Amino acid sequence: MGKLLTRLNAELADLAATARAALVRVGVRGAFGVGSGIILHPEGLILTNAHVVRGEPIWVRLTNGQQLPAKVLGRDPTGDLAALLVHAGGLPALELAAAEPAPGSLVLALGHPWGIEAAASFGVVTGLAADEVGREWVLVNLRLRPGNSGGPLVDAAGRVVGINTIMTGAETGAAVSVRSARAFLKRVLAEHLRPAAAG
Amino acid sequence: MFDRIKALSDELAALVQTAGESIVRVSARPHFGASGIIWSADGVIVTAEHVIEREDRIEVGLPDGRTVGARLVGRDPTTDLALIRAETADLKAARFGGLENLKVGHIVVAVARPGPELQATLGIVSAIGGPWRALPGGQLDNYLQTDVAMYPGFSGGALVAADGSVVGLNTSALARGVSVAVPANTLSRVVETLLTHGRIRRAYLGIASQPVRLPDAVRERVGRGMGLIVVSVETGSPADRAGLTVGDVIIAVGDQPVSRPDELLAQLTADRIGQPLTLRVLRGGQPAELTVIPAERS
Repeated sequence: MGKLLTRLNAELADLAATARAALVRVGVRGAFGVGSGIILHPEGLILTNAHVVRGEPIWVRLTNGQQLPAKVLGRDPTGDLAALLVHAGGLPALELAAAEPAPGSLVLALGHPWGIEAAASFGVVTGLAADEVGREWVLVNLRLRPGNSGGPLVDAAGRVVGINTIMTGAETGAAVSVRSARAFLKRVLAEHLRPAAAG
Repeated sequence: MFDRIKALSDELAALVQTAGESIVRVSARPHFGASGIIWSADGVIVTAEHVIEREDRIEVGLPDGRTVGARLVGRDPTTDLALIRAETADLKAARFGGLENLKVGHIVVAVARPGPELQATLGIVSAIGGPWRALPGGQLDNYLQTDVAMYPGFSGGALVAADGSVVGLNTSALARGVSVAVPANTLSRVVETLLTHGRIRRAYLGIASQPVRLPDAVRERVGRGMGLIVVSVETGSPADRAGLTVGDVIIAVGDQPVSRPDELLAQLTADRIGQPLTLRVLRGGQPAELTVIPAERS
């Protein structure tokens, strides 16, 4: 019996390490507080919440401690998403999940709650919801806190199913759904990539 | 790479989907939805009593997306259970299971339908015990506590064990600060009674009481430290007719010593209705016996 739990714990730790490698700290120089971000491409594409990068200049700190200036590729304040670019290569990146997670699925949230470095918390998807302005949310039984914003919510396969965004109660939080994130990135990249670069 | 977590996660999601086929949304209060568990395919649904704030215009949201009307069959505030009948007859009844195979530490899932969509959360069994009297006064056959967080609208939903069986009904009204579920054996007992009688019969005396420390001399004589002092007697009630007055201290009901209001409540079962019952009291410090004939609580 204890064997399975031990293995599950070991896998969980591996999963957290994989997700943590692609987690960055995001801040605005001179502004109070920090947020989180997710590396989605080895060459420096980073996804975060729009409310994390409300000013400039923006800096990003990688897990190896390297601090880099970031440029905003696109920002959607309503959907609370922002795409950033840092000048780097060979970064560990996470993949976006193909579909929304089912209620009851296990998830891991990575971020910097209250500034704590790269904290992980484990929970389940409690439900999916859309609000009155059409934003899609993944609801979780996790205690998201300031600093978690913009960090990855990953499924059991280590793919991003949401962008941790708000605490909705003492024990609950909501992440922008991977579906909204995909649509946002598609718009942003279409604007920025020249046909030659896209090929 | 993460095969076991992935397998566990997929199983949990599948468990929620399957259990969710027997979980409905119950709309009988303003602002908040609530959940219900399909008891039988012909439309009988068990839910939490405290979410039924209106008895007319009860709406039920079915797993297939349809919304149908429902009427109240009966309610038992003491166990926080209510039974409603939906105007439909092609439902999938939940598969209920006992607590025999459930242990402290086992993983459980709460499945609910606060709105049109299914919701779920995860936890473990924190405590299992024997018979327990809930905050509103009802007797549960077992105490079943989990660390599952009760979100808005989760009351009336199912507590599901890893084998997919519904082991309890979740409600936030039975205890303060902890998640306690009504176990399936109690559900079964209350549902059968509500289906047959439309209500839960309880005996009633017509008094309010509170625990009181007995004087030392009396303590030695009766061998107990506490009694129940009568703080009000309803006019015309069984207690009033038996001559019980404010200030009397009840120390036993029949052969059973009582020193807390819930111990008194536990004695007022349906079979006591209309049957002479001896109350041992202290009146002015002196022992006395009174015979009361409990009535049925309306």
